[in-house]
Amino acid sequence: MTMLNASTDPLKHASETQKRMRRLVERCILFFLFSSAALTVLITFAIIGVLLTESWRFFQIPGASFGEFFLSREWNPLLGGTPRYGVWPLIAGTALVTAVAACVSLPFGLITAVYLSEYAPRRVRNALKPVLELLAGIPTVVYGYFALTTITPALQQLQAWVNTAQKTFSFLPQGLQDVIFRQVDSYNALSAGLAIGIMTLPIVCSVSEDALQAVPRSLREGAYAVGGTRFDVSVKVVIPSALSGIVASYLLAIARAVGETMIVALAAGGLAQLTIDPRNQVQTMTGWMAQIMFGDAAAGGLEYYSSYVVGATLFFVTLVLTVIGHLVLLRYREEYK
Amino acid sequence: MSDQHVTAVGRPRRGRRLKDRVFLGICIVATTLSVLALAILLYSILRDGMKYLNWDFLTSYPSRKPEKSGLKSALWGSVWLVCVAAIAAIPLGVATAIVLEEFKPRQRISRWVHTFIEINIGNLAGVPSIVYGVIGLTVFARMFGLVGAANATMYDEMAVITTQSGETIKGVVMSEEDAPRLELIDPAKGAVTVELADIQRRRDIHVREHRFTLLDGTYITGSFRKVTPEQITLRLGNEDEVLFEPSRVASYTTQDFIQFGKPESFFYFQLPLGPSILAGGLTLGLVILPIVIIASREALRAVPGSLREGAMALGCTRWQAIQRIVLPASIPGIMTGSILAMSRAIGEAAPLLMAGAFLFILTTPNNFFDSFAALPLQIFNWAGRPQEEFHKLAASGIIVLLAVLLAFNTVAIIIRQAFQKPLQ
Repeated sequence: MTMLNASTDPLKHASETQKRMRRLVERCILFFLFSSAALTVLITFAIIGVLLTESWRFFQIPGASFGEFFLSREWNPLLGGTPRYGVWPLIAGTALVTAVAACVSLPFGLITAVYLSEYAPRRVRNALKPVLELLAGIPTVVYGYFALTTITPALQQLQAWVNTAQKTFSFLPQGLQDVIFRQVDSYNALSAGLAIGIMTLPIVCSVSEDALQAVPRSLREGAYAVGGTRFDVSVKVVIPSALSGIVASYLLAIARAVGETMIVALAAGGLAQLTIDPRNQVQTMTGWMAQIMFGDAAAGGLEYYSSYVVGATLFFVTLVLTVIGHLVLLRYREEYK
Repeated sequence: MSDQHVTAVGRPRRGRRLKDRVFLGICIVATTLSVLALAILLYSILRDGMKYLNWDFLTSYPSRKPEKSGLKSALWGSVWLVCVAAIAAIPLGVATAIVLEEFKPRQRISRWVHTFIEINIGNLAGVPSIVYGVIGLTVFARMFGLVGAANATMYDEMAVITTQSGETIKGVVMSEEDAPRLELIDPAKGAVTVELADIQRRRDIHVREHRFTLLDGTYITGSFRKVTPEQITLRLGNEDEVLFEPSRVASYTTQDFIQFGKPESFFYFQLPLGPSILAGGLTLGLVILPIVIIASREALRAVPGSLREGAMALGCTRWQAIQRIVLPASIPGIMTGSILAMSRAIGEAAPLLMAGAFLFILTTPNNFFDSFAALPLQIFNWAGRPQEEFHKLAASGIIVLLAVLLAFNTVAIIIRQAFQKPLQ
């Protein structure tokens, strides 16, 4: 590079000082460019550093212990009595909401992707793509509103309708009846999960569709040539070939669902409990952080620092999911290069 | 493949054709459901939101009465925030994209660094936005508690009011909104009532520590737990509380920020940043930085290598080639990506929730250190209230938010259409 500059410099006619000035300016610009790139790395270290040091302070405060955080099954820092800081109810809440979301976004996202990639005529494709982009672009607080004011009442209506059948099924054991026929809480994991599912559907759909499109034509043609239907080709050839991309899309969508805040803050409630019934209200990790940082926690208090520990847990969960997702994505990109 | 498939060359057997049909049906149902979800979402918002949507809604401040509520402070807050976020994130993002795309290293170590930065950006894009909020709170708003008040406790909201006659009143706001007067508790004097019509300017500030010197010469430092005209409850450190009557107070100061200039002026600066527009905007900048980088990289990658090689063959240095050839060619793509990133910033609520946005605020920002409201948070506030009428307000707010986003996206599309010329 530098040799090339010396021989054919476009600034040949400029004076020596001008040349030096320009070179200096160029140095400065390059310095700015590289320091910005370095800054992005610094941000990651800052995130990890802040989360770890503040979490460490949490465990220094009397009343909080490492053992309790990971072993206790109770989380009620704000209620009267001794505050308990066991993270599992929050993790369980997050897992429950994420599981509901996954039940919506994973199958529907994949099927939509297969339809778009393998079946849909061009006209339908052109009409569907903007719809998915629109779904992806809607702010999450809007989904939260939707979950709270539309999905929850609909679920309650549905449950009321199911409950009318209780007399008919009175032969069932009482325990089972109690499980089936009950009320849907006005804040519940189900509606938040459904909304997050709709929100993450475009992620699954677009990443999987890219993976499906990356499968070489020759594979499809080979499959058609031996007499496969479109179903055979899609399900037995294209999907297995694009599996790593699909898995990556699933992981990325789940990571998004785990980190989603506004929907759960609005629709999932604020009671941390270990439950597997999504009709109950739950507290998620993100929900707790939003509540505590926004609410009336004094900085320096136990509950204030607890949000850093919860944040650190959340960060590492999503980090693992996205790292694996990106690694899997890299693999499928290499496969068909 | 089994034997029966081999015999069925030509037309697939009926069973398999049926499966194909059924699967197509499932596909169409699934796709229709996702379209339906969008339709129901938009319908429910339009149905609820039309009631309060009018010009007054855009030009009035939030209020306890739904029919008088508006979005003015939230709209202005969002505008300021997005500007700060864009100014912070776009240059950084484009610069990083240039490094990643244009300076591909050859040596092993720098190649390793290059890959590391690449992976890192992928991860940053996956970090939940609420985690960025925590970082924004710690790094920008509080600055680790290193600057200003060392043992930061909590943020107390105080209003500083300048009356028409030029008098300055400072106190904790007790009641406001639609009352014709505003009730403040001045910790040193007790209750103060100000007629709303008398107010010339109002500024909300956030104080970390209040220091009371009592008549007997002792002093108490802490944050407000509860303030009434009869009694002040201070919270000290973590657990302890102390009560005393305002009549015992000899003098009162607050220890809050290191300040440069007057809080009213446009050039006001304070350290730490506090729950201010600057802190919120920078936090949003962190959220959109990976998006800007990824979009700019795409745009740079779309510039054919032959252009760069041509420029360098004519003797341009690498930066000259970037500055005169590559950047002009990729500017439409970078702008499109940046605008989309800004529209993401407008809709983002969780990081602002952490970095100190206020839900109820009756002023528009004056400088970068004013407190702020934001559009998505105002919606969050309204949606979170139990009353039905506020839900309708939230829906109206959502319509405004979606309209703003639509405008941004339209601009992005127009830029893409107008400047997109094939580079071959």
